[in-house]
Amino acid sequence: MRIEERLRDALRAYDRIEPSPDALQRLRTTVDSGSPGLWRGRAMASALVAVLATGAVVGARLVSDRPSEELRLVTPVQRPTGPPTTEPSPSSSPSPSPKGTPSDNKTHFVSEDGTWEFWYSKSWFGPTTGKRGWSVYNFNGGESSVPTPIEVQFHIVDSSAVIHDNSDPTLDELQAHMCSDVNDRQIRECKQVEINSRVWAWALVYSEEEGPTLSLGVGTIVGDKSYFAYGYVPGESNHQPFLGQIIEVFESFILHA
Amino acid sequence: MPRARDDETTLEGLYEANYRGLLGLATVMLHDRGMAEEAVQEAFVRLISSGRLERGDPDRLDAYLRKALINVVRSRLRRRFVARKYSPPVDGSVASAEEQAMLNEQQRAVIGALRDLAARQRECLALRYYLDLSDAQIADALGLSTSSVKTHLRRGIDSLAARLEAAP
Repeated sequence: MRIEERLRDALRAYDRIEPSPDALQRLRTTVDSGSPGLWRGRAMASALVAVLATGAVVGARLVSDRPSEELRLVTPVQRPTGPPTTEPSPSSSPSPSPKGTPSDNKTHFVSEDGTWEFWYSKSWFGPTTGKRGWSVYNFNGGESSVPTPIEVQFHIVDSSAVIHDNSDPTLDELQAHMCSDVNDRQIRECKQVEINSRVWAWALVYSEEEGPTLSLGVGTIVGDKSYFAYGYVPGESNHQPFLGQIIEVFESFILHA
Repeated sequence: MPRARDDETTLEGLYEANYRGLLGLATVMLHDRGMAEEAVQEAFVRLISSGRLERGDPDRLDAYLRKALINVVRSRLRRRFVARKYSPPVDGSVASAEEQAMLNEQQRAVIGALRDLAARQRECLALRYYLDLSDAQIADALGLSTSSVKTHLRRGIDSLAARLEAAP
């Protein structure tokens, strides 16, 4: 039997795996009652629009009273009203270019070859329990006047995301983890940005050959543990060069002193 | 049997047309039936949350689901890698995905070799030989060019054959 036929035959066996009996019902419940997943999406979209329209930034805090405890989310707080930010608005700018807006090099950088750039602001969209999200706006290379929010999965730090425990974690170790790939995919570039004195963000770009994919992560060190969270820019953006992509990261991980 | 395209813009129609296939695909990729089902559920929830269900055409909904699932699976794999690295081993008494799929010895060898391939090759091969997607559909799902897909498929098959030949 040819290898292709053997592979097809082996994979076909997975047709025998039955969905759980309540699979469809679970999805119906999501539609009918607005489960956390649906609600989360709507809340995020609404907050996103509000943020872009008004420049208001909603903040949240992650608090860790003791290093050994999982970080927990407390009620989001509204940042004191101030002048509108310089972040681009889909309605007010015909061609929202990332250039010239946040100039702080701690929140904005351009890749060495100039083909893409990464930035974030301390914005946070909607309360969640298990997951948090950040949003990526694809400006289609700067040509579109309406940014398209692209969903990026973002895992909140939790016990399974502890990457260094019972040791003395260092930033170098955290960086080594954040700039590596599980499947040894070829990485073209990995950038580290300091968000604050305890939290760092990484933007990791896979090579063209592997399919250009941007992976975003944040990490922090609390006591004797280090934590991370990450997200992928999904495939639909991968056809675009990274030029002009604007990344809004939700409230950075601000920890109680 | 021709698929009832008109029904595939409803949740039920979309479920009938896609759920089982996506579940099989996720199980192949994740090697864990429970995680696979959660991943497929999440892909559907993403679709529902996006509002595409109300306005999309069947082809686009199919494509969105595949993309969403691929992204969920990738995230799960990365997350699990860390969890495995820093957590105690899981209980081995739970039936494996292979046991649930009732794979024979030869099929297990093929799936084992498939899992050893580079991630992109594995994804391309699973989408082609399990979901029967075209080069263009695979490219769309993975965010690759069609030429890259062809390359990954060719190299993946070559590598798979070499691994199976080398196996005892």
